[in-house]
Amino acid sequence: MSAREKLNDDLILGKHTFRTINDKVNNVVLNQNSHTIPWAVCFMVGFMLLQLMGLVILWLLYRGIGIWGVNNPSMWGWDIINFVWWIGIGHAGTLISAILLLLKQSWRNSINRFAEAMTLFAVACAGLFPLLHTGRPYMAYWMFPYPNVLAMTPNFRSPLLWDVFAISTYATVSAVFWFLGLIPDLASLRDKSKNPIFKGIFGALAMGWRGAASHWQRYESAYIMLAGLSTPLVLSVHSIVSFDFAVANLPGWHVTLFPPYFVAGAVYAGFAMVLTLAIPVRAWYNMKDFITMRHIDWMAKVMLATGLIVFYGYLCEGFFSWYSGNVFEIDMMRFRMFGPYGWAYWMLILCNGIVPQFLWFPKIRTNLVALFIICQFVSLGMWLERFVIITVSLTRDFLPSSWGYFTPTIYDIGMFVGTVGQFTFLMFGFLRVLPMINNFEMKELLYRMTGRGHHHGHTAHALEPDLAGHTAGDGEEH
Amino acid sequence: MSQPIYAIVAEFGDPDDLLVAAEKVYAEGYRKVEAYSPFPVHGVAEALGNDCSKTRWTCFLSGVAGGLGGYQLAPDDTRSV
Amino acid sequence: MAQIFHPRANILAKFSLILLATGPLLLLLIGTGVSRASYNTKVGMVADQPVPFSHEHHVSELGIDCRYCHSNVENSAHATVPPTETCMSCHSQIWTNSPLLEPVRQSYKTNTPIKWAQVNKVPEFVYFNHSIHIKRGLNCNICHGSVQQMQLASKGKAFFMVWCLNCHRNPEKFVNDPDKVFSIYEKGLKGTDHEYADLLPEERDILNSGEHTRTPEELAKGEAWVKKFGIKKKQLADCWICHR
Repeated sequence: MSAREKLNDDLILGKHTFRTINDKVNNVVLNQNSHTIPWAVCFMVGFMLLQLMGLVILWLLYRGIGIWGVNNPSMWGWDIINFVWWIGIGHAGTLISAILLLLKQSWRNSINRFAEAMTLFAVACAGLFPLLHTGRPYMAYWMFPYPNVLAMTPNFRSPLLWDVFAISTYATVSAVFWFLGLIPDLASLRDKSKNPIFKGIFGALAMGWRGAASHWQRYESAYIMLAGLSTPLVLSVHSIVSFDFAVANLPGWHVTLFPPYFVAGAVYAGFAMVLTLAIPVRAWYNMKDFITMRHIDWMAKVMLATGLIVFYGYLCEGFFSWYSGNVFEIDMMRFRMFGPYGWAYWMLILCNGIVPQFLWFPKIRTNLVALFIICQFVSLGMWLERFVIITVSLTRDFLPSSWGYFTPTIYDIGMFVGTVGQFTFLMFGFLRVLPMINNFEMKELLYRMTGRGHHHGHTAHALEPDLAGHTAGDGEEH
Repeated sequence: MSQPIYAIVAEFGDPDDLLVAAEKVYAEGYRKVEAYSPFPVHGVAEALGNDCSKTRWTCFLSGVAGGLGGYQLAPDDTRSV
Repeated sequence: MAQIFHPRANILAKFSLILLATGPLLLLLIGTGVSRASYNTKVGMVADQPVPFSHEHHVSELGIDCRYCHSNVENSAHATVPPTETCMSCHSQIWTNSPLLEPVRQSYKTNTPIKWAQVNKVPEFVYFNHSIHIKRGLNCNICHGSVQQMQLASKGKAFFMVWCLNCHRNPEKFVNDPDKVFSIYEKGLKGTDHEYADLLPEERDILNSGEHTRTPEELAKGEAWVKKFGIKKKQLADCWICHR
């Protein structure tokens, strides 16, 4: 990939027609030769790490969660850190698909599909951790208020239970939203596929989509309503995750600032992950016409804005612990900065406070290599943020007699690396079997870019014959 | 040569042509008409006299049912098995 | 281009959609049903015993007190299954040649206990003490069903936690005069002149099924017993009361 590309105002570059867009997007799925060696490498590495995670989980179920580094006083360790980290990453997908849709941001069209997939796969990784953290994952259904013979209902006053509902709702709505958006594209794949088996699979999944005007009308109505449902989720899910800490009466956790700054952090980490995936993938599959430098530039700007909110959060935490005059709060901040985990705090400030400031420069925002590296810093920084919050507060609470030090074991590392593998495996598997770019939305975008789609009224307008390149219809689907 | 005509199919090279045609066909009094397109062309469904009030009602009623169902989750110590 | 699916596939598609909406609900219904069915709870299921012992014969016809065999029920956690010696206290004299009683005689001769199959069992994570429940006036039948009518022993009630809590949250619905726990069996003795005579409605219900819903007057009496026993209602349903 070339490091520098020209910033362009158009959201679709090159001379594209409906047919070329259709062919390009579907080709990735239908032409098995379109996958390159990088794809195979990523997929296989992901698969191997996934197998490693399987072994770790087997051993964990056999021996119990004592094989992790979690122990008194640090009962939450990498498991909860990783959970919050993954859940946060998912948020960019929902923001792109729901909020940007409601705000009519056309630049969401080429990135929403794989951002939503990223959401789903990140939630799948996140969900594993609390499930295994319970120690008895086969009893997980106890967390739901099913009609049982125990006279027990879950404790609705506990933020941990709110988490259960937040995450399960989030996973459900994201999956439905993603699938609904896929239906028209699955129908296109059904029509273009030559292989009868694939035709059958895509056909069954497309559920009889014919692209009729009545289909589109219902589709859009349902899609906008799902976007309405997803929008509060973007804000609520990570707010509730932050309540896991904020409701607890522990210095460093008991902070009203947590919900907004967790949400901003989630979007921040999420966009870093979207960019981490988008930058290589658009080069490998030659999607630079659809995921343009303009998209990348805007995503970097969102990252900068949310990063500033997060950094402001860190400053506020410091200020308020001093301003509170509370000895425990002040000591907590001192321990964070100069205690045994001081290295993590200053790394965090570097990753989330200093490094994103480079995004102020347009030259860096359009330099893909620099941007990719910054994204890695952001991901690391967001992981460290949860590490600092969880471990420092737990190992330095009110009584010096219950202080301790948290050390992860190889099983902690194995689980984390394993979920990274699972994420990679699922993501690259998805690239191969489903269209990574929203096919019909790109065609609609092209239609609107020609300046004619804005008229929603019933007035007929004169045809402009000179719209060369944009007028060719997608013959087979009419 | 007097085969009955079951239906007429027309292909349009441009979404706007489709919109114009849909309006004309509806104005002529045809009701069993459907338009197909690879992406949503706004206004065609309305031009053909469709509305999606069913979707809206289904969603609204499902939402009400879900909301009421949610209240059933509230803990109740006195309920029996 | 040929059609991929036959028109018949439409019904399949509709069925899948309906199943998707109702499937979770159906699963929940099946799950709740199965967990409460006697298939799972073993209520009314007769276990395979080495000797076909009849509670009906020994209690309702012969009038033997529960405590003659379950001798520790009043003062220990366990009601205790009687040792062979208890059986032989009579059966060394009567039915001495009955082939049905051969395992009992064998057990006595070889000094090895009879291996009865346990019918009523609380899980090991539950601390349960028989004596306190008897001392608070709870009749055997309230938990075990009308054992005195069982030809072969079977579980009378499902030991669900919600069922335990039904009393532990509202003890006034069940606590009673501890002196009357065993006397009601006498009144229900078969073939006697006071068979089912002078039994209170509550006692009659308990004798027949173990099920009785108290009237307001009976509840008021229950409240009085709760007060007299000094039962702290608030802590009676705490986790640690049973899960120690």
